[in-house]
Amino acid sequence: MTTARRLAAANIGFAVAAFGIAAGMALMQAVSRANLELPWRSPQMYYLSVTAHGVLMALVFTTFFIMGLGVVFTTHALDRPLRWPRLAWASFWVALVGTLAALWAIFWGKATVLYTFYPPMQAHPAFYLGLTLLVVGSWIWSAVIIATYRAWRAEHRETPAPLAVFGMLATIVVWLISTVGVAAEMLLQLIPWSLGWTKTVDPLLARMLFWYFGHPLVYFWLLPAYVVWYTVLPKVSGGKLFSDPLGRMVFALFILLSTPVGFHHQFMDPGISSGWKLLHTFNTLGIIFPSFVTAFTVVASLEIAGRSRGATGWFDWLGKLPWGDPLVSSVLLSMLLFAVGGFGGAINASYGMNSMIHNTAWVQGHFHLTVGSAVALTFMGTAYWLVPKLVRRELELSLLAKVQPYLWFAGMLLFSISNHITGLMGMPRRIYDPSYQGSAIAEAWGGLTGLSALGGLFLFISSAFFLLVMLGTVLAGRPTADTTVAFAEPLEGQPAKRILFDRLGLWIVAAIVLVLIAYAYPLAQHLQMPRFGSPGFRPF
Amino acid sequence: MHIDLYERFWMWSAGAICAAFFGTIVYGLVSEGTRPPSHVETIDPTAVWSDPRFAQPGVTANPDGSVTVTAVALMFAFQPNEIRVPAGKPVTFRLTSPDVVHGFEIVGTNANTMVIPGYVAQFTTTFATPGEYLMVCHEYCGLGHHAMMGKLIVEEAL
Amino acid sequence: MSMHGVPQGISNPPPPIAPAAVAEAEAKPAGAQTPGTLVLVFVFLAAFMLYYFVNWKLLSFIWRIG
Repeated sequence: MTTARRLAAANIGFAVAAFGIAAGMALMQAVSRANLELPWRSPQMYYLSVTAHGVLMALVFTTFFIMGLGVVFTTHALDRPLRWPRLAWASFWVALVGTLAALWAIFWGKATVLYTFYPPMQAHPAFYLGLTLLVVGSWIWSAVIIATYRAWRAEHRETPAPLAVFGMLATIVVWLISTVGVAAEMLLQLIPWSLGWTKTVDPLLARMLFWYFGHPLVYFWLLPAYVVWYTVLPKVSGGKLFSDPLGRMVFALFILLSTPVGFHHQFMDPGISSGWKLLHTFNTLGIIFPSFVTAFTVVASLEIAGRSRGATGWFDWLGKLPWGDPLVSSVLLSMLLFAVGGFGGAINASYGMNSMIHNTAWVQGHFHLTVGSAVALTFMGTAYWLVPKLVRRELELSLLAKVQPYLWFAGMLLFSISNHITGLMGMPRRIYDPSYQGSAIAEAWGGLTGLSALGGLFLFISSAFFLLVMLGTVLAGRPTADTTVAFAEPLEGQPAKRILFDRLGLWIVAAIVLVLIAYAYPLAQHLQMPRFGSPGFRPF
Repeated sequence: MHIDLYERFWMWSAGAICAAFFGTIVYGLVSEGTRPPSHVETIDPTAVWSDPRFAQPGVTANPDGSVTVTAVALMFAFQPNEIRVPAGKPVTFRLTSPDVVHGFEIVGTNANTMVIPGYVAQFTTTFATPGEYLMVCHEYCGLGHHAMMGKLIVEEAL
Repeated sequence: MSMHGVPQGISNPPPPIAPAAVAEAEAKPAGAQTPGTLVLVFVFLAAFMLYYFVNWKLLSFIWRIG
């Protein structure tokens, strides 16, 4: 278990460091967007910073945090050490080396291509190779977790996997299916092209492969957060998990529906026919369902917790919840923000409305509620709960930890609401200067970009509190022997036998069939069309 | 498997709202013909300026009163950067890029498309209200991205 | 009923639980104990529908892209 503890600490430690750097970049961007002059403000700095923020937050912070979380959940819920401990460490080092290579390219100004890296904008090969290694590291991690699970399974033929492990396995399945897309983009297109081995790439094919990966990527982030909502939150708030089988159903549905939805990011792209976009629209609207079910199950688990603490009325159980506990408040606030994010998600998926907000500030408002709140705030709360157990020290500066989630909530509301509105008013996302040579239309965005910058400042202070608590805990926390990682009991007791939703193999096969229906034909059609490649450009 | 009464009730409701979302899409599809925007046409991005389809960017009036706007999005400008179209008439935009991926958006309208090198983006829309509109690039295309802009003037139809 | 020197709890025993009430409590489904959640999720659903419908009506309806 020591390997697992140290490995998890290394992964989460690096994730938190990446988060810290990215948070600093974010403040600079929010202020630049409000058109406030800063000492080092320049287009170079702004776009470099957007790239670094996106890569560090969306790819590095999330992946490393999830690798750490997966190690902890698997070893504790199954109560056994990691299989292949050396390989487990290799996963960390491979991912780390890859990340450092990509960051070198970004910070030396050789890869200002944003985290979506759409060709024919061309970055330094180290950027593509580095990100590929990050994914390879996560694949090794996946293999270790699966091997650990299979070793357990061999000894427990009939027992359903604990929900925490089942959720992590679903995460891994989604990840393995989806990373095929980005691996193909990297290995067949971008790496040979950036090394000069091939002259041109097809930018639309690259976008199709990227978004094949890019949407399930969000479920790779979200599912571990759901695991925390289902298995840790009810425990810490003093209740039980309201429904274990529905939790399994939710994870199984995510395996099924995560991937065949990517074209909803490409509604506005030429070159993809209408019918396939329509199919992906329907799949996208279907994937709202498991999140609806999650809303009930998790809130009901909290109601059970509040009632077991003595609440008897309709809503007084809300007040009985331990709002001062940083894990509980982080997760509850992240769920509230996610609810609003879900509203916007349904709008994004409906292509008629999407044409109003595609690539506007609305989109960044939207995903800061989802990945930036549902995921990031849940992970911060999880860190308050988990890091003390990993480093065997009590949480230090706990007052800051209590305040931090509320500050994040307030900052995110300001940031996100103002960006949704400026998006509806047509302000594009990812622009250094929103003034458009003094255009009267652009002037109308002014006050709201200021509010968004204020939100950014709140978020920055909140991030700083989080980092201080983490540093304080690791360096100065009082030693403790408490390393128990406990998960919520289901209200109806542990399930005795495996149900339909436990049959991972079945769901994987069904998911692959759906992916083939949604992607094989349009991709084949695309490859048969006479196409023209693009040479690379480096306009940065 | 046992599901709590209230939760079962909720799941049916959630299923119903998902069906309602489907319904709005199907309704738009059937009654208004609102399909996802799409146009499949390729072009050699290294020869945009000599391609007869884009050699002379600008506005062409069609016999039926509609107009076609042919434009090139490039680092970091639109060619042409001032476009005049009549109000209330269908306007078909045709765009491509000779370099990186760009975006095309007329602020305050649903005129919005990606512009991808190697492909021709095409869509048709109608501007009801005369006036001057801001035309911007909404996909990061390099250090001059925020300066990539133009003007769309919707003129009172005669 | 009250007697001097006898603790209240003994002189005033709680009324015995009617067998009917026990039967009712047992017959009530073990679930259906989260009325607050039910209300909250439907508030959420109503907000969701309102938000979607308003956007749909305003945006999707009037702009057609072909």
